[in-house]
Amino acid sequence: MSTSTVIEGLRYTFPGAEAPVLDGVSFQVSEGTTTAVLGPSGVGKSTLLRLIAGLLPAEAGRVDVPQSEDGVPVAMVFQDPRLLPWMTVRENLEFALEAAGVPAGHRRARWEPLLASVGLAETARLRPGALSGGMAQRVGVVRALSLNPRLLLLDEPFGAVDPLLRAQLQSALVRLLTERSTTAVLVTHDVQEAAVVADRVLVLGGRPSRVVAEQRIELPHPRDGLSSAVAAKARAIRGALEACAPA
Amino acid sequence: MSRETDRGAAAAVAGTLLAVLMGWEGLALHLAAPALPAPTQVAGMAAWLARDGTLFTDMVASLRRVFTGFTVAAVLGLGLGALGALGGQWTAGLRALVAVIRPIPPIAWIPLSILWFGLGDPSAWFIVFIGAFAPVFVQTCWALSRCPPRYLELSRSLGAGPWLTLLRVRLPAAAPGVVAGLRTGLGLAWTSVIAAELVGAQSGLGYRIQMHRVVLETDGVMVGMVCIGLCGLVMDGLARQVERRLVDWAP
Ligand SMILES: Nc1ncnc2c1ncn2[C@@H]1O[C@H](COP(=O)(O)OP(=O)(O)OP(=O)(O)O)[C@@H](O)[C@H]1O
Ligand SMILES: [Mg+2]
Repeated sequence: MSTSTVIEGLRYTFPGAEAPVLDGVSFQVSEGTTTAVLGPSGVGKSTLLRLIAGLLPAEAGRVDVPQSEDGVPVAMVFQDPRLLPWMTVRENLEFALEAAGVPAGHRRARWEPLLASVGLAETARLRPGALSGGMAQRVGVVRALSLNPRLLLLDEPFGAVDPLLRAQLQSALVRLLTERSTTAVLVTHDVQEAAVVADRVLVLGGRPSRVVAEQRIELPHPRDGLSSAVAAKARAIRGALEACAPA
Repeated sequence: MSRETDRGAAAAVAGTLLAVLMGWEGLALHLAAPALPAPTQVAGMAAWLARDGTLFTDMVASLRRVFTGFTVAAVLGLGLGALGALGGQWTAGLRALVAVIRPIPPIAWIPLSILWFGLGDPSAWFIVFIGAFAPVFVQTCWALSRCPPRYLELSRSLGAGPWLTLLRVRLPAAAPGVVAGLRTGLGLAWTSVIAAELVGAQSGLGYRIQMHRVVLETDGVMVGMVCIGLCGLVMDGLARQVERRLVDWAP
């Protein structure tokens, strides 16, 4: 049984578009590691996650995600929080678990500690309309993590939180991913976030886009975002990004 | 702030009402007697009809017809509207049929309705049904078939099946549109019952207007008209309250 997630030769063209957005995107994510995906806006990062999640049909290529015994194979954290406005936070979280087939009596134990771990225990009874953008994003992350996914896809999950909280959430995410040995693909615009969270960084670029650069980050967790080793890595990632950006 | 604007709005309403009443009274002085009765005369007639009890019984008669016709329209409109939205190509014919029937005003159905159901309640129920059904159907159909794609994508990404998605995502997402359709339907049911009663009934506010018209009692006609307006206003206010409770999450 393969334990890595294998992505091979993915191609996708939006209906009506002339050229594909992505063509020949290949990489592997070994079990329990986190891969960050960076690239300019509009390069196709969100599209790539949708292809991996099976929300869009790949035109060519394949996605192999290992099966999971006690959870779902893949869970997605969308770029917008995507909470259902007619449900409370609690109902949103329980709906996801219901859809995943978790029996009613077992659901609470799955989301409650996670919600508390991102500092939102008090919001369970609120509607999403009463949350700030950053709070809603955190609930979205909790929803995905509570499903115990084998592969977690995160699309700029901390885009709307302040830098201090962002650092806290990054370490909370790393802790949770390590504890559960969850494999993750994290899309981000933040080179420092990539350097703190990821074991490997991929840069998407070109037209149609594919993986144009790759960096390993072999630093032990937990990492201090302000340490010189992380800063050096962040600089290296920025260098790789700039190298492929159109002049 | 909002208290002050409320008070300002109330003052504006009162001012406009007063101006209209004074203009009306002035105009009535210059017109021949039955054409435009003065507001004071209408008020006198209203007091008389209220004391005598007919105003109340007429109102109840009209409301009961609305209740029956609207209930049937709501049940069928919701059911068939859902079928229209979820049936895809299979129910395209149903949607086309309603689209053709919808522009025909309820009054145009009165001749057939009287032939089919005679003069009486069933005929009025039918006219009310015709008035209320189309908006309920169309809004239900529209709201259900226009679920925001991002919610459907979320549901799919969570692995929710079609039933769970229908129950927890599509139906609640459609609720604001559906409820708005019911409210529009109720308003049209009320105007339709008056039309039906003008021609084919033995009681109700529409019938009363017609009776006063025959004997040229325009003050009685106007009492009926004002009463219809006020009843409609109250019904819509109540419907709005219910709407706010049912879909309190909507922006
Ligand atoms: N539904 C769609 N139909 C047609 N084209 C689309 C659609 N969604 C995205 N695109 C196009 O595909 C390209 C990639 O979009 P995508 O959302 O994947 O970019 P991204 O890398 O996630 O950008 P960002 O960093 O701004 O989130 C864009 O150029 C966009 O114009
Ligand atoms: Mg994106």
